[in-house]
Amino acid sequence: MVSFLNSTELEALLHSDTPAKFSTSNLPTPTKLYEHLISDIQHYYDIVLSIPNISIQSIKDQYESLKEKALNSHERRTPMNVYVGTKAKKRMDTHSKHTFYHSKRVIGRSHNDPSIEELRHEVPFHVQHNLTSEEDEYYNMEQVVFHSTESDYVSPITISSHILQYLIDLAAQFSPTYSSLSSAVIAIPAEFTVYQRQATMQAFARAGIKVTRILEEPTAAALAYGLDQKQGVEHVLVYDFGGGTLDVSVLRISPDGFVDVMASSGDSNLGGVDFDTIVGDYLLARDEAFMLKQEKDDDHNGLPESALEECAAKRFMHPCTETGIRTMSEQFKIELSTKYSDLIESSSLSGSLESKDDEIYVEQSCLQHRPSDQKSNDCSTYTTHTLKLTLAEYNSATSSLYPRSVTPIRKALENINMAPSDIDEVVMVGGTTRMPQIRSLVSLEFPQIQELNTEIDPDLTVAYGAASVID
Amino acid sequence: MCRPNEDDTKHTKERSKSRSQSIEQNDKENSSRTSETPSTSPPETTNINTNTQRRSKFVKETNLRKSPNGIQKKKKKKKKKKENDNSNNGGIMSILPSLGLVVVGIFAFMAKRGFRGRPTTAGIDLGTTNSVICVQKPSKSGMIGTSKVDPARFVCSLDLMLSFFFFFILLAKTHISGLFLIPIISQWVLLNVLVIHIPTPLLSLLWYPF
Repeated sequence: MVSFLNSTELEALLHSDTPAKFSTSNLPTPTKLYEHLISDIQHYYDIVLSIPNISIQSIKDQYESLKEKALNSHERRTPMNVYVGTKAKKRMDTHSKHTFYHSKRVIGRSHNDPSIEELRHEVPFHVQHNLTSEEDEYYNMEQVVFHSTESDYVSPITISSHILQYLIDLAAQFSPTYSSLSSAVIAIPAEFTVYQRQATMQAFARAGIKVTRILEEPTAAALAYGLDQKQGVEHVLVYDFGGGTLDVSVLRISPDGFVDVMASSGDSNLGGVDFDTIVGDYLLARDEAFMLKQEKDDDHNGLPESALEECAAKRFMHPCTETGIRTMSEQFKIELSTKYSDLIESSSLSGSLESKDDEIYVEQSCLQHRPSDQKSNDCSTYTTHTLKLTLAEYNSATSSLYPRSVTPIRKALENINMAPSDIDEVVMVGGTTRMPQIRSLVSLEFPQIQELNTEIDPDLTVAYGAASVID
Repeated sequence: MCRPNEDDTKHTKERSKSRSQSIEQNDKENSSRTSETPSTSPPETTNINTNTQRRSKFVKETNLRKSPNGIQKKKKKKKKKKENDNSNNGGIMSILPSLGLVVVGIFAFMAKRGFRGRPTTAGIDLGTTNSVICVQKPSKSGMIGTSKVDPARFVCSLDLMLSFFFFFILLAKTHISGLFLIPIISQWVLLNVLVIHIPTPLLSLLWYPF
């Protein structure tokens, strides 16, 4: 079992309301870690040899050098231009009402669905009933639209089609070899209804992409690791902890290699974004006086979005606004997780770990609004404010989310009367599974499993699986 | 029924005899004229001029000036053309089936290696926060050269490539259809059936005399 926390800590974390402290003093001994590394390396080569068909080229990987680290499903719409991906995300801080995201959460849903109301409270743009749509709700896929202004609105299907078109264009830009992409194997969540599936298909059709095959996301994740061909594997649990939702699926693999979804459970209101929101709230509450001053200055100055965006872009930082700090909190999460993982690895190799949670921290600066007495638009008049967050603070702030992250596992197994010991493999999917805390919690649920399947980039696993079944 | 007269038949026979005699005489004359032209030593211009004056239309003056053996060369060219046109006598047409086999073999090899031309299908994960597109590489052999390569597969593919290389040399040398497949087949059998690895250059050299 790969666990960076001892059982007591984890149990305390799961079953108590008081925030538990993560300590790095209970790391594996050097000998154990050495074995872990060896097995890791062997496992790595096992994958390559047992699944030779994984000759998949990830466009995302290749574009890392071009700062296209992730293709974010955010879109900003203006009357003239449509920005998709990283470009849109960069403008998110300053154009929050014009930046649409989470379209997948409402695609194909009815306007009176509870998830619509939930999304309304989470996003800064308007989510409304499309009054211009047809009255027949069963055949109308665009009942919900996102509004930036009263006259300017766009449906989730259109947003998805823009994202898809952007992906295809990106592939063509990457290499002329991929300029003739016209069809796709797609992966959709297992719990999608017929209408949601049809709406997704409509988005692909609108983007000019022919759908040749539809896979369920947990199935694709299992295929990516070649578990359908691995001997002795019958039951697989796919733990998909993405940015917006948490989905847990139990798969059964028949001896013929057919994969069925036996049960699925999840938390549609829990994702990586919630960690960012909580941390953002914590930072805003901690620096309350500072933020109040910012808001006051903001009201007084009435700065145009473009001026702040321009200055923030020039100085490579986020503005010290509420939206900006929420965006920064995501970077805090990523950096803390990376530091924590690196520290665990290096300290285990050396055999000693001296640093404590309070000593692991990250710092970032944000751009303050200019003082009210200065009227110049010069970016140099803006000052910066440094925010610091320790690992102890982070774990304390997010402690309420950890018990929720393992509840769907237990529910899914209970639904089919299975015990955790019946699971042969666990596949970790989604960016949030990079957090060492989450990996430790999942490992604790399945003590019989030696190692979680985390070798493939969790953001790419589903797409790998989808691409691996292309004939 | 009416019968032809006997006189008429006699006349026709005589006419045919006289025609054949005249043809023979003409042939003799022609042969004597051609024998008059010297074959070993170059003719003098005066003689040529005199000869041309006496010659009939079918021997041109220019041909005689350029080469004394012009007529013979023409005949040779005609013979060559006939040989080329006749597929039973070999030539390029005989290699075509072999070339066809080669093309089919190359395509089969590429297909076995996973090459399917330009990809038209991608795997797409339209996620909530991130979307990813994945495309299979055009060829599985594209893995060669990366750190993830399986050494066994690399050796195998390298051997096959070398086999093809030596096979083309062999084809260029021998022009014997059918026989060129022997080193390839033997290599394949050794590697895949008998699981014996013999360095390809050595194996190909064994077949080189063919």
